[in-house]
Amino acid sequence: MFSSKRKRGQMEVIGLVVIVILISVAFLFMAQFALKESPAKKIFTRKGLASSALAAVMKTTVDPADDCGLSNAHGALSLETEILEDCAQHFPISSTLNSVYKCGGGQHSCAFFEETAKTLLDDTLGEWNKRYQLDIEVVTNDKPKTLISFPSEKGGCPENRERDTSGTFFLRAEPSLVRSVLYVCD
Amino acid sequence: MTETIAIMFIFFVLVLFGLLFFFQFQKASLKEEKQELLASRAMDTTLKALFMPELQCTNGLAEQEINCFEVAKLNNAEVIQDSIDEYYFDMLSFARITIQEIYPDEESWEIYDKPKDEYTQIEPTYFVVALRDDLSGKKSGFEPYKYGYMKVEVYS
Repeated sequence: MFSSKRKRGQMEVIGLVVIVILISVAFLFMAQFALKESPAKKIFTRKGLASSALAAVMKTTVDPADDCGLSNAHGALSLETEILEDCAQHFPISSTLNSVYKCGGGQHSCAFFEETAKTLLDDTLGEWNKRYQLDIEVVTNDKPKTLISFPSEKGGCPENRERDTSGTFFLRAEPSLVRSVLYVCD
Repeated sequence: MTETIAIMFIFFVLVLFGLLFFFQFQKASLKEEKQELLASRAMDTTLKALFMPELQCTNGLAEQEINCFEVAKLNNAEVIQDSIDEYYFDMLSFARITIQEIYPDEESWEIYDKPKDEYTQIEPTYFVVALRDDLSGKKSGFEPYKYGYMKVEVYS
């Protein structure tokens, strides 16, 4: 009687040990996955891509084939300093003729900027399987208004997603200020 | 006697589990470390290429434009490719660097190519760059900034 009780007790202890082992192994596996950090290169690439892509888009000059009707003193129209500024100064879009520059077959500067920037970003970030979100706002004394905002074909980069930013690019477009940010995520 | 055997069995199973786990972990760690080293070399090579004065945009002042290459310099970069010497090899090691213009035209320049004979892996890194074409600007009074990217592939 006494021996059988002792045996049962030992079996229970063995059972408990097995359970504890199983739980420990499960915890170890969980910890291994949970503590896995994003590789440094991934972060470096995303951060670098975000800032370099927005800087390059802003610097890019309009293809002369997209005849904008007018040209500046130097003959080259920059997407940022001419087209985006023109877009901000003639916003909201009321008709296709109300911006100074009418590039790519008479498009409003806002529509042309959006189309060109989207093509450029899709051909680079999109091709490398990165998602992005470009947000451009006009800041005046009132609440900031969205001027241009579009996500990549695969979707945007909401706040709850791990994302990197290009930093804020400012452009003075009298009488307001234009604020541009590009978010890049995987 | 039976209990002792059962306990010994569990003990050895535990040791076996531990060893298996340890070796698997070590194997994964080594692979990851190798991957990280290659990624780190890719980052270094990319940064070195991005800041090469042989390619970067300048405007006659000491300050250089970041993330910008001059097309005229790229057109003459063949010289670098042809005369890969110790200087560039020490700086860039086994790698391939290409610049691709995508707007308004499509043109590409291979500025460095030193492949490793028996490589096991290639790690590509991309960077978007502006390409300043001063020479075509001088001809037409148009000073364009083109849009393109730099692709750096390092071999391991």
